This record gives sequence, C-alpha cells and structure tokens, in this order.
Amino acid sequence: MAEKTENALVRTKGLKKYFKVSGRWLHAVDDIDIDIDQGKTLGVVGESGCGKSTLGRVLLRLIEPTSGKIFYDGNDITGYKGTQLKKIRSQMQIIFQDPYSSLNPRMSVAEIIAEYMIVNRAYRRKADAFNQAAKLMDMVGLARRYANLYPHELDGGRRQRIGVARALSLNPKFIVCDEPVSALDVSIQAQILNLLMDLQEEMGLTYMFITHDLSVVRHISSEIMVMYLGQCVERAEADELFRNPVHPYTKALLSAIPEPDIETRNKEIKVLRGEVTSPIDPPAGCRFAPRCELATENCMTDAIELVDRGGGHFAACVNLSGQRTN
Amino acid sequence: MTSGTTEPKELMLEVKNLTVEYQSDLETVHAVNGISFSLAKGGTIGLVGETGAGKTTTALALMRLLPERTGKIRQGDILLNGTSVLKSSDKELMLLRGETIAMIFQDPMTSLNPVLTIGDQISESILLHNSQGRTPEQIQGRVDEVLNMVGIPPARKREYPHQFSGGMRQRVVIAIAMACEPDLLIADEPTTALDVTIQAQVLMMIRKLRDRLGTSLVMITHDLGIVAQTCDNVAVMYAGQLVEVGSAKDIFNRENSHHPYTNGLFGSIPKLNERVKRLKPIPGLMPDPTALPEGCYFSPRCAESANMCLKARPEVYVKGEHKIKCHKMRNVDGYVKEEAEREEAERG
Amino acid sequence: MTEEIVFRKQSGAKEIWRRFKKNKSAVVGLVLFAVMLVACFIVPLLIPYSRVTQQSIRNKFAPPSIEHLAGTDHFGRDEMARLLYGGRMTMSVGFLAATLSLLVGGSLGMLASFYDKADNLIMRCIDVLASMPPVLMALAIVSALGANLRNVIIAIAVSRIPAFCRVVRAAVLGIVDQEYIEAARAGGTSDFRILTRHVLPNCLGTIIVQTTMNISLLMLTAASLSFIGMGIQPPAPEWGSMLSEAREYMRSAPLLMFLPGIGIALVTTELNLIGDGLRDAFDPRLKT
Repeated sequence: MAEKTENALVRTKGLKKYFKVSGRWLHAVDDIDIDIDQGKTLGVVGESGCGKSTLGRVLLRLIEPTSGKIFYDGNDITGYKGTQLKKIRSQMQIIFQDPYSSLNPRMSVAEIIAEYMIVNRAYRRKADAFNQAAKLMDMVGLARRYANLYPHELDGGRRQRIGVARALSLNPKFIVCDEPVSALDVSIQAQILNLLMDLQEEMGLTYMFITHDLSVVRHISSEIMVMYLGQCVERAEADELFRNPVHPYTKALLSAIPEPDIETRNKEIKVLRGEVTSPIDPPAGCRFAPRCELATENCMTDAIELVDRGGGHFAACVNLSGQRTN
Repeated sequence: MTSGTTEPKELMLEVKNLTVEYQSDLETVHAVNGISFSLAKGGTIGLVGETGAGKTTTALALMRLLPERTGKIRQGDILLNGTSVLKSSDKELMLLRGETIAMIFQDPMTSLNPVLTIGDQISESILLHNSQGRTPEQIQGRVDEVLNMVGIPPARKREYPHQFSGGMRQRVVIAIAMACEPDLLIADEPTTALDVTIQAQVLMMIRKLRDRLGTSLVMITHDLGIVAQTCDNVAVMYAGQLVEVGSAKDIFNRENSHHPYTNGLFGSIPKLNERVKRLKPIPGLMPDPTALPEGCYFSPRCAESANMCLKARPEVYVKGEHKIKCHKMRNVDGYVKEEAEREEAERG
Repeated sequence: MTEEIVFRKQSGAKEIWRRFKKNKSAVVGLVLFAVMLVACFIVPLLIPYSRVTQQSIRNKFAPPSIEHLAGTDHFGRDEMARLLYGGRMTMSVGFLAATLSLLVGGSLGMLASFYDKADNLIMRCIDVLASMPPVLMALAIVSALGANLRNVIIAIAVSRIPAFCRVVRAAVLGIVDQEYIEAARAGGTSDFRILTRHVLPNCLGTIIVQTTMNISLLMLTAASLSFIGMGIQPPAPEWGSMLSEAREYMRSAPLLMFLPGIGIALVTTELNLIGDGLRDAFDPRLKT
C-alpha cells in the first residue's frame, strides 16, 4: 500500500493479534494497515467476531499485538513501557459499548470522571481535578446536580455521557469509540452521536468508530473500513463506499440493512448463505469464499491482497479485476 | 389450521383498551395505558417503540404470560378469533398457546433448554398439542418437516442448542413456534441479538413462512427498518400508549401528518442514502412509568407542545385507517375525532 | 452553569453507617454483639481470674444463686466467670484466626486471579493445602508447633486459607472481566490502584459475608481442637471445650451445656446478621 502523508495521527503496519485457543490460533486481527488523519474519523464495520473491538484495544496497547507496528504521531509506540506508555495513554482514549459495565458501580459520577486526572496527577490538588470534572460534565451535557449520584441511578444515555467525559478528561487527541451507541435507544443514540460530532469539531479530535450499524457509521465517518474475520476486505472514503461498494461482502452487508422506507421493500436483498466461518486457523485463500456467490476455485487457494482500485478505494477480492470499468 | 382463504375483514386479534400495571409494595408501574388495535387474519402489524414503551408487556398480556404476582390487567379485553383470552380458563389457555398463538423471544440463547436436543424440544411442542393423534413416527416426520422449513438440515435434530450458532438457534426457536402452525405469531425483537446478514436471513424466512402458511404476525421491534420491510400495519408506542397507528403507507409516507414522536424517531436515525449534517434527536427521556405526566405523555419532550398539551389528555384523530393521538391534529384537514367518526358510522 | 457543586465523598464510613442503620435485623445483631463484646471483654477485667480456676468439689453442680449467677460446673467452678472468660477466648481466637486467614488467603486469591501467570502456581499450592481435612491439618500444625494459644490460632488460620483464597479468587475473577477495569487501565491506572480502588470495593460484599461465616467455623474448629486436648489447654475456659466437657452431664446439669452452646449460636447469628447488613451497606446499588 502506498505510504500516506505524515498527517496520519494513528498508523499501523501489518498489525496482527492472534489468540491461543486450546493449542490453535484464533486470528482476531490479521495484517491490518490503517492510517487516520488528524481530525478525521475512521469507521470500522463488521459483524460480531470480526475482530473490530480487538483492533481498537490493540491500537491503545490494552492488548499486546502479536506482530506489526503501531505509530502515534509518527512515533513507533509498539514497544513503549512504563511512564512512556502511561504518557501515550493519556493521548489515546476509549469509549466503551456498554454504559453499564464500563463504569465502576461503587464510584460516584464525579469520582469516575476525576479518576484519570487523579491517577495521572494532572492537578496538584484533588479539588482541582473535581472542578475540572464539573467542567467536563458541562461539556458533555450532564447537569452538575448528578455529580454525587452513582451510575446505576442514571439512564443509559447519561451513563454514556459519563464515559465520554471520562475519555476527554486527559485531553486526548485520539479516541477509539467501541460501539458507543449500540446499547442505546434511537432517540438517545442520536443525542450521543451529535455530542461526539460536536466535540470532534470543537477539539479537533480523531476517532476510530467501531460499530456494526452501517447507517451510524456512514453518518459519522470520513473513511470506512469493512472487516471480515480479522481482515480488512474493503476500505474507502465513506460516501464512495456506500455509492460504489465493490467487495461482495460489503454489497451483502449494505443490502441486508432493513431501511425505514417502504419504497425499498421489494428491492432484492442479497441474503448471504451460511454463517461466519471459524476464525481459528483459517485456511489460505479468501475467508469470505465459503459464503460468496462469486467464489471460484482460485478464491480457496490464492492469497488475496488489498488492492487500490483508484482514489483510495481498496478492496481485497480476486474476482474484481475487470468488473468495474473505471 | 391455515386461514389463507378467509375473507380479509375477519379479525384475528382485537385488543380493546388494554391497561396493564405492575404492582409492587412500593409503587405502581403503568406499563400499558389503554391501547386498542386490531389485526386482520393473515395481516402483520409492527409494534414500534423504545425501551420501556410497553411493547413486551403487551406481548406478554396477549399470551397471558404476565408475572402472576405483580402484573395485573386492569382494564380492557383481548379477543383472539373472537373469544376473550382474559376469560379463558388455564386449560383453555394451554391449548391456545402453541396452537393458536405462539411467541418468539429476543434471546435465542436463553429461550432454549440446554440439556435437551433440539429435536426433542420441537417434538415436545407437537406432542403437547397432538389433537390429530400422531404416532411417534409421524411426530418425527413433522419435526423433520419443520426443520426443513426453517432451513436446518433434519440430520442435526440430535444436536444440542450449544452446537448451533446464534442465527441457527433463532431458527430453532422459530421452528418450535411454528411446529403447531399457529394462527398468530408474536415475534418480540426476534433479530435484535443477531448480526445484520443473519438478521436478513431470519427476516426473509419469517416473511416466507407467513406468506406460505397465512400466519398473522405481531412484530415487536425498536427498528423502523424492520417494520418497513416486514409489516403492513404499524403501531407506534410511547409510554404505554399507541401514539400513532396506521398502514405502513400512512406511517412511512413522510408527507403525511404524523405524531411528533414518530417524527422524532425518524429524525433520530441516520440516513443511508444521504448524509445529514446533524441528527435531530428527541430531547429528554421517556417519562417515569410510576409517575406519568398530566396531559399528553409526550408533552415534556415535544417541540410542538402547547399549553393544552400539558393539561389535557389528547384525543385520537382519525383519517381512514390512520390514527394519531395528538392535540395538534384537531386543526389538520381530513382528520376527525375518533368518537365523532364512530357516531357517524353508527348513524350511517 | 454557575451552579456550584459540593462534591461529597459518599462511599465514606458515614454513608455506609447511614445505609447500615436502615437494616433493622443487622442493627439488632450489632447491638447484641456489642453487649456480648462488653460482657466478654470488659466484665472479666472486674472479676478475678481465680474465680475461673478455683475448684470446690463439695459445691459442684450448684444451681444458680446470688453467689454463682449461673451455678457451678462439675468441679464446682463458677460457671458465669468461666462463660465470660471463655467467650473472650473463643471470640479472640475466632477473630484473630479469621483475620490472619483472610489476609493470607485473600491476598493469594487476589494475586492468582489478577495475574494469569501466578494463577496456576498459587492455586496448585492451595489445592495441596486443601487436600487435607482442615481439622486434621490444624491438628498436625499444633502437634508440630506445640499446643498454645498462638499456635492454635496459626493452625486454624492455615486450615481455612484454601477456603478464603478460593472465595476471593472467584469474586475477583467476576470483576476483572468488567469493562471498568479495562477503562481504568486505559487511563494509566497502576495495578495496585486498580486492585484497591476498583476490584476490592466491588468484591467486598462477598468477602465480608464469607469472613463472618468463617469466623463461626473457625470458632468451632478451635473448640474441636480443645475437645481432643490439642487446643486451648485447661483449665483456661473456652466455649468449645466447656461444651464438650458438659456433654457428660447433659442429663443432670443441662444448663452447663446450654449456656456455652447458646453463646456460640448467638455470636454466629449476630455475625451473620451484621455481615448481611454490611454487604448491603457497602453496595450503593441497593436503595435502602
């Protein structure tokens, strides 16, 4: 893949994470190259078990990569330890999916938001950390009167705001949003999406937005990566991906979304046959081949590569050459 | 037991002014507050709403499966094929469940018994309603037939639930529900726990089964997309009330007048085919069901709310099949008060 | 926006006490327990120890009187004094042994569940320890070290280490999976702070209940050691040994057996009530 410009805030090269499962290897993240420019959002879509959450955690060094390199702001942070790691972690944060299990039930709202600042000694006095926590609450739209309540006393939307405030508390530049709205109702989901987009605009944040919801990902992302069984099958600028999906899996994903519009009711849905195959010691060739209608014998044996199809639209499929007249 | 040949007007299900409360020592939760809707034989209705709207409570009330100690039906009636579910004896209910009405739950992981093979679980439901006096061989034959119908190879009937993936398990759940060819199927968020591609498979299968067997369907979901793709009629639920009911055409035609909550729901979903700069979420939260607001339940969150909305409960305004429970509709052409219309119908 | 907020430190002792107070049975347990503590730890300071040991064969099995509030035992010793001093002994042994056992077993359990690498090593050692029946092990330790108060405490503490270790490990395992632990890591929190601030408070409930239940078990183990002569050495009184000695005279002097028995039963019940109350009081999720 062509090297991108130096603008990339977060970049990975050949990133892999394999887990050992009773003597065999589960390929959770397999050879992923990404680069996210400052102030942009990379959306990562895929179905459960495709390794998208693992990817986010490997980026933040919450999980050690098996091989490959992670660059942050041009520096290779793969080998960082101790204070160096702690310092870099204040720059890179995460918002979790589950606003229930990601907040310590024994700590009050203010304590949760102030905790990172106290741990990192961001302020000399604890009181200052709490004052800053109050300011963060204003920023994410949480009334200050909730400061002394416990997470279980609040609803999902407000809890997710606590998660956002906590992630912002150390002034990070890069935030991994791991399905931050999947557990919320649509009307609340929209509130949180707006909040995330406003914050990005105000503070110039860079996001990696992990989700299984395609309509959400289009809304928030500048670039989208589609993952299948640990690999990136297609990557393109958001509008381009929706307008012109090329990989059979992306096409199937897009057609499978039930649209809130009865005009589309009779549109042909590409119902994929079968289910996701096992990520444990996957065979050579295309991992999507067993479910793909275009699959030929070549797909089972040939190594597939992510090929630039022009304009930064990458796709990994051997059957694509010639299909698109471009 | 199929009813594909019956004339369209015949009603499968009629819910009249259903009111359900959960009563605990400390408080009364007003879960369902006087909802009325009906479903023609072979028809489909989508019950849409967010968490806490009372969708699942409604479904449980239809099956008479509310928790006995706390869940109380305070008012109203449920007519199934013209007979009241509420007045049925326990024995009649046993027959009713499974044979006339069946339910699919959200979580395929917990609604199957982990220590029985899926074949045994399907044959059990057939055996319970064995009015035709099937022999064991015939029952096994029926099990194979049902499994084929949901796209599982019958050879797998000797396997246990944990050997199946989530999508396959949901198919098993559907197979159990369909084994006795019920007239009415209630699907409570049947695909929420599944991935999109698997969701598409399951929805497609439900649609095919319905078309083939003429089953009536109540589809409970929070996803407007699923409703648009599978239902002929839509009921939008908010705080235990139906705020808008109509045909899919009425609801999904954005040119029509709508309840502000319905508009809010549509404004909250990001669009697939166009990029909007900002979503328009509904401010605030669902009201506390133990202390519902005076007047319109939606008024605290409603951008169009007027003085009147805070004080008086709104009436239902009707135009054809399209019903909207909102004060603002009194000034909209073509919509009349429900009672006025009923009187007119009686006179005519 | 100008709204000023005073941040309250809610999980402090005051808040826990406020929630504890609302649990009526726990308060009853606490009051009774306090009464027994005063009786067994303060009153003996006022009675000379000689009353405990002074025998008077002529006056054995005397019924309750002004002189001997609870009568006398089979050696004519004052039963009341023996009860109070015995309670002091029994409770001290129970508490000290439970604390020791919890500290050692609990720390091991926490390390095992928190560090994957240590898990196997620690738990296999614990398995070896658990392969011996607790009483037998306590017996072996006492016979090796010699029967005195300190060694009895050590012996019965060691015999319960596997139980504490496993309970704490299981409780912690349920918590380290939670996302808020990962969140803490993402914020650069040290392992020590994760353990003390995030893990411990969330498994405190389980630990407290287990500890209070174990105190009574430990008291009983101490009693069984005394019974076979390897525990607290006579003539020092101890509820367990008093109970077993009185067994012989169950028909003629039932009171001698009932009183220490009731003592043990009461302390155990009170501790369980207090434990339940504390568990709920430590958990802000339970609205009381």
